[in-house]
Amino acid sequence: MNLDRFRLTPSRIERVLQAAMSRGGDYADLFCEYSRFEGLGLEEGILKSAVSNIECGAGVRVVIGEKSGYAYTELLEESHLLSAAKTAAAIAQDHGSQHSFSVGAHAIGNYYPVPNPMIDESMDEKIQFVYLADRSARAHSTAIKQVSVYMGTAQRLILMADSRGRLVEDVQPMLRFTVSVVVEKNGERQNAMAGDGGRLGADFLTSSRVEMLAKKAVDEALVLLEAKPAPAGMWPVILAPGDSGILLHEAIGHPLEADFNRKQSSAYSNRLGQMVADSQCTIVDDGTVASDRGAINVDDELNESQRTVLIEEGRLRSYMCDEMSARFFDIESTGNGRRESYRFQPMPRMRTTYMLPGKYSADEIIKSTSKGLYCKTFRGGQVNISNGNFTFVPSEAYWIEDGKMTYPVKNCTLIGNGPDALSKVSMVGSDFAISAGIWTCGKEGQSAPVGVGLPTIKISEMTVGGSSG
Amino acid sequence: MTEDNKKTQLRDTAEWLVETAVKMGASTAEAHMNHSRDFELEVRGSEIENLSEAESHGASITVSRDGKRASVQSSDTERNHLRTLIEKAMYLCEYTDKDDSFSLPPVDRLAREPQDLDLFDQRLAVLSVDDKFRLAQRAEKQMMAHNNRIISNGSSFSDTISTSAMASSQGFSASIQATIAGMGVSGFANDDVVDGDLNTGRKQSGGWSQQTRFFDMFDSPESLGERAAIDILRLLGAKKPHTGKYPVYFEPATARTLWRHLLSAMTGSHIYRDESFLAGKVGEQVTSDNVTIIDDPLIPRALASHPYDDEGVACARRDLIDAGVLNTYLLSTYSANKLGLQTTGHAGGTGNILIKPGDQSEDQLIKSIDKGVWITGLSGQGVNVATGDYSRGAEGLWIEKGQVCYPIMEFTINSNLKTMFQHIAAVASEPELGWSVVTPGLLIDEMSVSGV
Repeated sequence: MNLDRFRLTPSRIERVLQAAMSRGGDYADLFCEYSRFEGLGLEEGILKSAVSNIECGAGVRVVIGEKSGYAYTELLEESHLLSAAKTAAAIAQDHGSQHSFSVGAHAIGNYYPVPNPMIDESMDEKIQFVYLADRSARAHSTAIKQVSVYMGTAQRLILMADSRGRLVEDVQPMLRFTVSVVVEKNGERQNAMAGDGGRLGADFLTSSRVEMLAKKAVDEALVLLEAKPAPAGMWPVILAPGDSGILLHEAIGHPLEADFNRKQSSAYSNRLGQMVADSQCTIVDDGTVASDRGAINVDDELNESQRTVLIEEGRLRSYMCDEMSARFFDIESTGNGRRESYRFQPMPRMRTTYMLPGKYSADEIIKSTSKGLYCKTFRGGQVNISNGNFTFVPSEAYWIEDGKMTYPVKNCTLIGNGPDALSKVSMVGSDFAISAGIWTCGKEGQSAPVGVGLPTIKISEMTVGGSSG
Repeated sequence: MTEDNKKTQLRDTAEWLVETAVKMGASTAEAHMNHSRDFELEVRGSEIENLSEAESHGASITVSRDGKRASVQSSDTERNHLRTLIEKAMYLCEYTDKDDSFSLPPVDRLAREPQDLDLFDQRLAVLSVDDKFRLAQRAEKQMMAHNNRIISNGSSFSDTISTSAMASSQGFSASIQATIAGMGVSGFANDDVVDGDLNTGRKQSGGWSQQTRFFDMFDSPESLGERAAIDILRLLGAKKPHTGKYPVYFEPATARTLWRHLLSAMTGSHIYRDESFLAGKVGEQVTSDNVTIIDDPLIPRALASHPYDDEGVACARRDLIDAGVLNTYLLSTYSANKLGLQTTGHAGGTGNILIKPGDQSEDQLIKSIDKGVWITGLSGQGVNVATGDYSRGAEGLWIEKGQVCYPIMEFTINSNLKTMFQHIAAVASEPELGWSVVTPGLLIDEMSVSGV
């Protein structure tokens, strides 16, 4: 274990936890993090930026019921850790215990073994892919005006201990590679982006993968050049596999995070056991999808990762819990307690959220639609967890007429209501895909890498925000 | 350590970083040092629910050698560690490409004697935890007292005392201290659910918050609580509006987002990449002539005030848009070099943005609408600054015959930013103060509304 990195010893950890619990509390934890990031950015054909960043710090938290005290420090001497512990302890009121909190190493599984982290590869090795992406995009079309390539690599070492006596360490690698392009034809201009990545090592980036990403970005931008405004109003909507999992992330994911349900502010509060979606829908949040961007071996408060069934055949089975919410509901944590860094307290966050495949072929689903919208890739989404309204924004989408895809459409936002939209899922496809690893979720000022997945599905009716018709 | 000592200490370290980089062979170097003390307290049900405190550190340095640049950042500001960091930066810039447009700013544009903009409030720095708790408690109490349907989501008080220093190899060095505090309260209420509605657990949520640099600039916690209550209640019973083309009124909180899109389109990095609908439009009419926008980074005590930008360039008050005509882009030295222009001191963003109020009040504007939509909230990423395409989810109020009729939600508004800014029928007369974009509401002639 990397105790030395944080100048820790088992007895020093014990003293910090003891100071944290000196005024009482249900439990306390110590979260230490050493993170390295590196970003390479190419623009206008040249490697313009290289940024390297190191963050190292430790946070101490004391929890009592729904209350918490937190302090962090970037100075790792024992005096600073003890002072952080005392600050966190201020949330508790009684005399506390003189109990000692000895900790022992707790072993966890590994869903992302990475022998060669990309961040540790040589610069020569890294930059070749960045240049290759630029060349491939430019070679793919004469309409190219701009190409931007970004490669972000990171390695996060976390070491945690808590008053339950656990001591856990995890190393979390991350790789993200994106190609953005601007194309122009007859004075009209469009942009598009393609990316991939996850908790993967140097083996993941290959010439063919990079070339494919570059072409994907260019092709999408070229499609958009031909796109027409989308019709406005309520229409059937078909979602392609993969990226469209954004729908689940917004429509059902956020409102099922247990903090909102503990505080009763979610549209799904007090609805466990009830039907909240069509019976074809089984939806899970899974931290164990190998090498996915949303995978975690352990959450950021020492609870092991797991596959959590949220909705089973339309019925609400579970919220996504952090430790505080799990204790509130008197259940075990689902391992969803995550935080952006030592600068933040953990809260319930998604991992990789997806719907299990159903029985229809994608072809059947499209053919069943006389008029509607087919959405292939997405820019992102947002939800209001209280009224359940969510928006999500397609980047590549097509209009369907008489069971066939016709012309591409642009500039449309889809808006729906979580419980309403999931009850209107009329067909679930047998195909299934996890989206490429590029998604970052934002909640209350904290960002977290997540994954999404979906088979082809059809929603019988949803508001398409267009401007024609 | 006293705050004044901190200022000197950070400035010394920034200067040392630059000197060390130059000794290692850097042709240019710019260093930034930051230190902050952060406090946050959350209250729910009149009790403290969360207390957080921290002291954070940051160092960053950008070096160049023969026009090749690299940057490094760290939370560890110990000098031995910083030395290895500079070595890393020197190593990285062996691999980046020569960028002919890169230079440090013209020396005569640097803020040699930065103005003191009065950004530090001693009173805020010594405010007790108990005082902060009472303030947050009062805001929550007032929100709850307004209507018994309201359930609290909590209130909060936070503050940051920050010191930042900068130095560059042109001999520039300066440091600033500032305070900033925020107070906010939010809640929700169970909504009326009609027969056949599948969303039986529906709530409407809302809130209000404020940020200031000086404690005595806060509105009373009671007025925050009152505004939060109104924000929650006004959406109860919301339904979907009918699809069609209508005039759209943006209240100040949502009008602000439109100005942000406009400022983003004016930003140099979007202009030189030709990724903005405003590229090549300086000197042209880009909005209706009732729009005048001033950027003033030098207002004492104001939220977005700063005497110099991230490159040390002295900031100045500027007319950005004058009666609809675009006067300037927002440029850093780099984007200015790209475009063959001069930096406008906007490396790191704008100052306080002031939108010139119009003659008619919000009430008068609403009365002028026969059938239309009042936007209170927006969601989603459907804004493309390159093409101007605009498509967002929205909630708000339905207006008929000059009256607010009922709340509406789960609809989208669509248009193109170029068209929207050219069709601002009126800017209202009452600017909402206390934000870095100070704007009244505004009315746009027509947009596509998608509902049922």
